[in-house]
Amino acid sequence: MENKDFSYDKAIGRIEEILQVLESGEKGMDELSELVKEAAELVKQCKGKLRMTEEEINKALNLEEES
Amino acid sequence: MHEAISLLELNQLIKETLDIQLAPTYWVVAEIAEINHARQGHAYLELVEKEGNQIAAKIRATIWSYTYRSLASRFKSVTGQDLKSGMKILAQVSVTFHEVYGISLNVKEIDPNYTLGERARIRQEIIDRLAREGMLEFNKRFKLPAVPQKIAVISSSTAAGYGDFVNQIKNNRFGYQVHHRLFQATLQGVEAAETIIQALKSVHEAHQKHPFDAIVLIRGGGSQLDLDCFDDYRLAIEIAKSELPVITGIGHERDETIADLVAHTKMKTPTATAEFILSGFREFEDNLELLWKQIERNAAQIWGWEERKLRDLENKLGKLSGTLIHRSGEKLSFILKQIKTLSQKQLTVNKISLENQLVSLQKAGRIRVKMEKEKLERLQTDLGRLNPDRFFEMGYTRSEISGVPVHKMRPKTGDIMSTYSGVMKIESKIEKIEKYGK
Repeated sequence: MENKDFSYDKAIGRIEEILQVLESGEKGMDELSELVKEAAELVKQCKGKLRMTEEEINKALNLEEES
Repeated sequence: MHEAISLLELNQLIKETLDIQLAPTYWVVAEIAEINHARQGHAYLELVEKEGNQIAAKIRATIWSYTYRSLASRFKSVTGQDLKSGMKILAQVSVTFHEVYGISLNVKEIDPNYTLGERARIRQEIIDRLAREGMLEFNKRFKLPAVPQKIAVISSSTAAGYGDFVNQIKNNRFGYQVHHRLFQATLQGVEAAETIIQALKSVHEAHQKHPFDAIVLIRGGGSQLDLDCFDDYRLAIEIAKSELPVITGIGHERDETIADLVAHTKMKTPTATAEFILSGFREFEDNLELLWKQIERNAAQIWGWEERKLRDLENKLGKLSGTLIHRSGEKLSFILKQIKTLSQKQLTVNKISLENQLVSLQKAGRIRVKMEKEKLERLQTDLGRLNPDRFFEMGYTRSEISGVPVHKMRPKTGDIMSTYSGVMKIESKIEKIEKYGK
């Protein structure tokens, strides 16, 4: 789901962070699946937003505000 | 009544005077205020000299088609431009005066190097000034956003270049959505620079409410473009100081304009500008996919390791339990064996002791039998001694009365007494009984 604080830079930053954590190999299986899930969600969000019309973004924001 | 001449005479006089007084040709420096092309191929110009914004001098000029053709092509080959208004030229002219059309200049030659030099000089002055003021690199201080999705477009809605840009953006094959908003400006002519500056100001105002990622300044179209407005100093400053990175796409083939120089990024055409923006998206998405692949690979690797670890553990466990079972089995069979040997030992011991007991029993039995035998024999001997036959042989007899031995009863005279010896029974009647012995 789109949110107000979304930024491509932040998203990619976080994804890179997750990758680093994975590369460091310091995390256990539980955290690993959580991290991978988070990364997948971010990737999906980014890809969606690249193709999201202004209208859709506004709708998403409004929905956010109402909920 | 004054002496009068006709207007024609006057004009003829002027013409003669000019012919006599003026040299056949002059090299003159002037600015082209206007240039029009006649169908026949002639060019009609209006030449001016300015002091600031004031016109200090003005005159019409003509370039006849025969001259114009070679002159214009040479001019273009040197300067890369057509003759056009706003240009400063060094022209070789002759002054002609026509009785009807009045005074005008006939342009015989134009030195393109002058115009080139002049333009370059002015341009260079502006560039030097901008450099001194640190404005050339100022807009480049921005880092372009990862995805330039919200674009303020400064262009003219009627410009072909704007249409190219919008089409390129709209029909990108990746389905990227670029949100662009047009800020109208005039892109040629005298007010162009001013309207572009105003458009930039409007963008910055709008940017406060709904932030943009970048500004795109585009125009496009034929080669007949007038690019002078993009060399304007004030516009350059406005671009340099913009709160957003400015991308230019001013569709021209010649050297870059000053606007291009101060902009964050310069693209050749509006189409290329659109492509550039989309390439940001593409790059971002590629990077995203790459990162995701790496994450997947890493995760898979970690999962692989964990799985292997588990398998190893399983194996170890299997082996261990196998070993344990085996060991317990061995222990058991050992214990069983022990039990067997022990019990066998025990059995043997018991057997031996039994046998011993048996032997001693037998022994004891034999002794006992012997004793009993001896006892019996003694008894026999004793019995033998008690045998009545022995007494009979010694002459003793046994007397009974009615089956009762006489020493157990009180015989009376008259009783019939049976007396037994070894070989006979004697019946006798008791006659007399007297005391005997004790």
